[in-house]
Amino acid sequence: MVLMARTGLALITASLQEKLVYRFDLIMGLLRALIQIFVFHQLWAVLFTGVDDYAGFTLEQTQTYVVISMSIMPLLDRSFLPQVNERIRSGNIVFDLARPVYYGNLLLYQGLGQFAATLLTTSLPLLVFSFVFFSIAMPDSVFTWITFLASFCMAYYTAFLMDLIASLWGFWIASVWGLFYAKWNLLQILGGMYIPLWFFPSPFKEIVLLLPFRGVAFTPLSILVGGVAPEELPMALGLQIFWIIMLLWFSKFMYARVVKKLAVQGG
Amino acid sequence: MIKALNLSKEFKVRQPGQGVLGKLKSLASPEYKIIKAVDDVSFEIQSGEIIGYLGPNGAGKSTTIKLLTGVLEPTSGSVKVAERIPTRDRTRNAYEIGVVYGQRSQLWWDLPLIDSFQILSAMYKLSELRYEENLERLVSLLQMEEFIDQPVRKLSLGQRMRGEIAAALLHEPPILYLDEPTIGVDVVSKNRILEFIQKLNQEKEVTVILTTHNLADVEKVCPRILIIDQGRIILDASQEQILERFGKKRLLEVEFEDQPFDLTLPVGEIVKQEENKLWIQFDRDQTSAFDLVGQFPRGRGIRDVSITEDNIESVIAQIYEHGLDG
Repeated sequence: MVLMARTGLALITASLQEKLVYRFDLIMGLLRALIQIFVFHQLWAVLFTGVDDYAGFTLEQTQTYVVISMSIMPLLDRSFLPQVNERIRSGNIVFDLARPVYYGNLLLYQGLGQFAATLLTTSLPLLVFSFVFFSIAMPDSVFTWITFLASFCMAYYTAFLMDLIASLWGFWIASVWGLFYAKWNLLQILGGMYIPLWFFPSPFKEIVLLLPFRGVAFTPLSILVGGVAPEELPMALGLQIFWIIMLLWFSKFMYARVVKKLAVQGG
Repeated sequence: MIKALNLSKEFKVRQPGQGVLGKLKSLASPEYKIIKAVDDVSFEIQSGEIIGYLGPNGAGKSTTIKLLTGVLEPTSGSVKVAERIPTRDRTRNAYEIGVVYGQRSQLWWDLPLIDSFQILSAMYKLSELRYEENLERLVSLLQMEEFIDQPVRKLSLGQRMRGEIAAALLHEPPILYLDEPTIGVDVVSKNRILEFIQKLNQEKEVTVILTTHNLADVEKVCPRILIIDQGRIILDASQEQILERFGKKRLLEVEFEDQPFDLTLPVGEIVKQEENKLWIQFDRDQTSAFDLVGQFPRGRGIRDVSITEDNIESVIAQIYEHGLDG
């Protein structure tokens, strides 16, 4: 276990350092997120003109939701698909599959390194900026914070597993950009990254709430802004756990299929 | 150590179709073509051997390496590496093998070379002491002191390749696969790498499988040679056996004092004649250079004589070109 942690830590640190090499990339990401935050913050203000609440949610709750969502989105919507596909095309995947560490874990460690880099360079600055310039309602209860953090950790893992499945699917496809954008858009819309799912019309809303995508953003964010009543909490968290188990099983199943069918040609 | 039995690997390749219509048709109902990259291959490699695994481009060398490393699953037949089936026991197999591909890199491109070693050390769960010892030995043997702190992307090819080899050996695997490790590398770096491979084999008894197009490399370090062509092993023999069987031709070059003359020889064949020089090819089983020279009419002054013998390089080039019977 200790040795396992050491392997993970080394890979996470390496990926963090790699990420920090590209300063321009980081600055552009930050800029893009800032513009998005500003636009969505204003958009909701306009939509709420003349009304006190929509579907039982206030402007402040909604603005808090989207501002935090935009700030943490760079942590959740990263994708390994292009990178994995590039390694398949170049054939460099031959190294990854001959390591003493499961390929999914190699990617997870790399993802956690990128997570740390993005948190330090993008999400934290964005959160600080938002707290200074926007009125944001944060929960007072410690319990809410703890459940939010637990839910957020699961959100990250859910996002990772979905991306792993997409990346493994990419083993069969020559060009992955179609899949890449499909996954990205599904995550942003069905995950409730731009629009909180409570604004979705029935019965669309009820269906979306059963899907795994909500676990990537909507569940932790709605917990944070007080959109989940205490009696609804077990269901919300339970659904996250359920989908993590399903996705984990499915990703292992896909990996077994992928390595059986793998064809690396040339060189 | 390594056992391959009736090993085959087929690839299903989708045919893209020709022109717009063909591509549209293939979009609706794709057509596949089966390519046999490795076809019923069997061999056994003992611990401590250095094998030269040769063959022209597309012969199936790299596919064999991928089957041995456990990256590819065989279509039929079996592989055993250190008593294990590599695809079934990927992670355990990883500790037994080191792999270097000349045209690929396993190093972390943007980080200093030393960082790659640290990451690999953690990945293979080496103790601090073992890591330090192995690293020190590899750095001094491969002479990496001056560039170990440089980012990998700034290294020259020869430097990087030494780094790749060190990366593959850091966890002291008993088996090393080298897939064209000297491709594009300059003579000095190349010799350093070859000497290192020999040393490694002698001191640590590492089993080495080397694929390359550079036959001089093979001649230098590989006592045993396997040749694969169109997915099949066509030859598995020691250097001596190969020379014994195929390297029978010698070339005698004679330079006379004055213009040559008509000469008929009972054995041997005049292949070239130029001013006062004569080239005679002969089979060393049939005659010797000494006997040939003895056949020249007396009174013809000979200024110089030299003999060129077939070596592994020329013999294998012949086998590539004409097959085993050529």
